Amino acid sequence: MINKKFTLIFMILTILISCGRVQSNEQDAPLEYTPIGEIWKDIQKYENEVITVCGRYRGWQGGGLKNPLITRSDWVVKDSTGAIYVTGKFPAGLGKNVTLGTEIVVKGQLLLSKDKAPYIKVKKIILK
Amino acid sequence: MKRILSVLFYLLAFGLFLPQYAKCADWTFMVYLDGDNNLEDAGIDDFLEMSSVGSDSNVNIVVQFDRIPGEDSSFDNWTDCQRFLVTAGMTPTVANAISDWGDGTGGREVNMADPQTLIDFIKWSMDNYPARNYAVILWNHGGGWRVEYVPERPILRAVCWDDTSGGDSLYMSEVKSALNTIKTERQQVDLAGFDACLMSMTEVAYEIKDLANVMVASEASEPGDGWPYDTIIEDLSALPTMSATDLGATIVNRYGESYGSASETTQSAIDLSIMDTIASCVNDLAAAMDSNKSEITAARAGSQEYNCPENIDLYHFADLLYIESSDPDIQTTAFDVMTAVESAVIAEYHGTWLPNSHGLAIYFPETETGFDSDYNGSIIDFPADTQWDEFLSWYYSATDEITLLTPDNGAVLPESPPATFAWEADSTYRFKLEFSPTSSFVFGFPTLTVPRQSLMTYTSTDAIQVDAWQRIWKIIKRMEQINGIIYWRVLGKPGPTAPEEPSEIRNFMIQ
Repeated sequence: MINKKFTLIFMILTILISCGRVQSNEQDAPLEYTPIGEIWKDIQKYENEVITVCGRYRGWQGGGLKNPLITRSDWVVKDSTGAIYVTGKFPAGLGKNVTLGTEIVVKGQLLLSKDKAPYIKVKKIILK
Repeated sequence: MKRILSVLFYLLAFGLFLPQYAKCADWTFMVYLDGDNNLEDAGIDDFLEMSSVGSDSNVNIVVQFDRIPGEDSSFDNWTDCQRFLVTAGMTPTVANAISDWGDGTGGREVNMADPQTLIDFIKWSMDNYPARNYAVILWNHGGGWRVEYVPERPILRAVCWDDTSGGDSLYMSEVKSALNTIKTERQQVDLAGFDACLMSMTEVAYEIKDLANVMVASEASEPGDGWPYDTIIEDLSALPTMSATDLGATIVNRYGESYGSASETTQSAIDLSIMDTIASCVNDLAAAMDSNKSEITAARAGSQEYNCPENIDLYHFADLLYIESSDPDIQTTAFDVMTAVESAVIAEYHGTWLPNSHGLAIYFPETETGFDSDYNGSIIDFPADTQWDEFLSWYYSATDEITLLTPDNGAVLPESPPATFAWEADSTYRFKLEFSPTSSFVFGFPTLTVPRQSLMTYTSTDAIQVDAWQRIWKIIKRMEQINGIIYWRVLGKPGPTAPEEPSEIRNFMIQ
């Protein structure tokens, strides 16, 4: 019985850890994800900060999200708390390794457009 | 009497023809403005830029504008498709739109990604606004020969996404088909423009080479504002007799002025009559590149990339090959590619953040992982007519055998330095020298990363310490304590992101 409980707790902890952080190839430090909804709640707090979000690639389907229109290639990443536009390089292998709905990690600087719409200027993309 | 009648006949005929000719403008500038997606805001801004100048007797500005629900609600928030003869000061309202498209009905919902919609618009524009020259501008997202895979439609995508039509888009073969119909049933367009991202690709230009005289497009992503239509149309109205070549150069120059030098933007005008020459030169270069993979990899790694990392600047790649290659055939054919690109580029602008742009990109994913198997002759013409796809296939499959030289199996190395590890390989970008107490290498003991610049030989300087990938220092001697034998191999990386290819495995002992 104790073994079963221990196994259950271990499984839950494993799932929580795997969902909460990912190991970068280049750095030993785990990445902490910022929920996208938190960015929208307090944009000033994150402005100009380098953040990491984890969500699904949504291409140009912003679903009514204000497009900062930095470029016409800007794309959307969405997690369970919200969505945000990303500008910069596409994920490598777009169309083959990355399609609509692929889970990705985006690290970049949070900036504001001239219309004060937040977006992420991508520095690095990791496929989960 | 007969002569008088004859003169009267000619006068009458000329008289009937003259008003028709007089109505014929110098240019009809057609903008296929696909705002049925997340770029609707930018579409409205560009419409207003056009109407800040508007049409005149010499220049017709004709727009087909498709909008979408849920994005921008200005100008009565209409969401279908409307056609406009844009006049000075006009706003994009339904009241200002053409009320009859020639079939008794005006605006309606259309699929802008249907080639027939494009054909209908161009034919209608040519029939109703005849001119001596025609420009067709495809306005929207763009992705060159391909950008995004959607499982329901697993073939190439190109330009003009229509979100209310299931996210359909105009494939490059469809653009070609539409322009071919126009050429057959009306006349060839003089200038084909892409106010969209990433469309100035060799593959795109080659696809429409026989269907327009000049192509204007960008190698890089375009800013949301796209082309500065106000200044472009001002210039065209001021000099309506300008040729397609001049209009192409005008668009490039005004675009450059609009975004300035400190930017990540590009724009170029391409003489499509040179595309056969470019294809021939690229074909020769592709055929020549059948060895010296390391030099090709180095040139590829240094070439100008864009937001879509599978695209590189063709001229820059050829230039780097010309400089770095030791193969005379590659040097000669690379130089020919550069010369052909120079001939084809009428005008070119790039911001300082994309310094090695020269006007035309080409598809060259860095690794096979990024290569799209749809890049073949059944989808687009360029790989059908050249060996570029065959070259890519060779490039991804070419392996570089690493031959270990020393120490040999069973060699005994001194406990104190120096100890030398040597190997041979032709075309590898980077090496990892790997040690392990077992031949399966499952223990993850340290590795040493060796760049190509210092390839072939590594001489230890300090008790055979090796620098692990994660910068953790360990000493090989400690491994000896496990079973006395240390296994070693070299992993070679053909490119910066390519998978590693391992050498044979050898072993040695330390005493």
